[in-house]
Amino acid sequence: MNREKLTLRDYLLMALISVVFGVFYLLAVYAGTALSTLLTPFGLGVLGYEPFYGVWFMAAIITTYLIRKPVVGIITEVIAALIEVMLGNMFGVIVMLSAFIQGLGVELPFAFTKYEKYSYKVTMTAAVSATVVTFLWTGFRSNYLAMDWRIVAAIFVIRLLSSLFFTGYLSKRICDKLDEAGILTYLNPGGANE
Amino acid sequence: MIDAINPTAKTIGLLVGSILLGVTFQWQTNVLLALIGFLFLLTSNRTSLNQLARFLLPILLISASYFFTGWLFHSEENLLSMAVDTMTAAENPALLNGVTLSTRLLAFAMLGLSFSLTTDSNELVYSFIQQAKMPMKMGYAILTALNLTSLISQEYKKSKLALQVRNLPVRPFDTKPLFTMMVRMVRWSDRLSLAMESKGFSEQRTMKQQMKVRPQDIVFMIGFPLAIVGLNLLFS
Repeated sequence: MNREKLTLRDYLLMALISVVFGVFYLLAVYAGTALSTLLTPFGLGVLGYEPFYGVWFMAAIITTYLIRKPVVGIITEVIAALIEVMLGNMFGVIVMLSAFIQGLGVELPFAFTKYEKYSYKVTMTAAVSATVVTFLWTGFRSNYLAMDWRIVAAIFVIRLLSSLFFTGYLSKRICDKLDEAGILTYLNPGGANE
Repeated sequence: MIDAINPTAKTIGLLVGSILLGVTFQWQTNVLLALIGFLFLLTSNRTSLNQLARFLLPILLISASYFFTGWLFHSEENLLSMAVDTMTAAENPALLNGVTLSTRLLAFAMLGLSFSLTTDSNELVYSFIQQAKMPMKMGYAILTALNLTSLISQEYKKSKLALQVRNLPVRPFDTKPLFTMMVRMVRWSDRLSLAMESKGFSEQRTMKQQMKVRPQDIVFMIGFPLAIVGLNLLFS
């Protein structure tokens, strides 16, 4: 495990990537709001954001893959949340707590491999753990106990599929391309780039 | 009113308050908290009615979607407990379930907005560095990225344009421009860190703007969550 302290470059990379993903997050928010509005008359509006949920975990996966140090995923999510809040996110301060939980969910599988394995198996596990952890959190926040169990099950399944695609597959694919382009060797010269 | 509260104290007060809101199941408390949030926003000099209206529209849409879900797809066990608890609930528990869920979301959003729209970005980061012991590197990285937001957005558009002029279609959520941006951000982070460190940036940096914690900040930090507990007790 790389126990070196996070450098200024690491923090800058996390913050800049968070802003880039901010563009994606905004797209997801627009798409989610539109879908929610369409589904609202049928009582299914709560499902509107779920197909895009995995997008919110992408930045954490990518920075963890690139920087390869502990807590990078959590810090990236918190930085992304802070930037979102500063730009006027409507859920404000609670977004920071949500971000911490999302980062924790993404980071757990990497921590179990001591930040040494970055295979599809690990990113897919990260997608599942992020889904489970965030589902528990949003369940508390949105009081899933007051909803029909079938709606709650639909929330979980759609979020899981979204996470598996965006977090487990797409993020890993981008990371592999970055690796092929030599970015990983550039960022971690002499490091183990598996 | 809320503009003058120390950002770290405001963060703690509203964060603890929002967590307490999570264990609030009375629509009356939710409505009151949403009104308090609205009052914070109305008395703030950092937000205008136009800006507020722009943010309120999506909030009301999401709140409506929760209302319909709570009304049409309610949990039977939850309705039963509500019917036992309140007389009104017994008349139309499904409707009340929808109202409780939608006002809960409204309260979360109003408290959230009363933080986002009334807090200055620089003051928030300075306060986190000085009071919450955020690493200097992290704080300045956030400010750097924030100041580069419009430039990054322009670069992203250029990346998409560069693909389009080569007759490569770019769809929403396409990874091609994203890949280009990732490479650029790696380079930017490297150059920016070199530039900052060559100018003497370090953890020992002194800050001209000193953020202070005054008694009224402590009162807000402790008083706001206590007020929510009080409202919960009042309506339960």
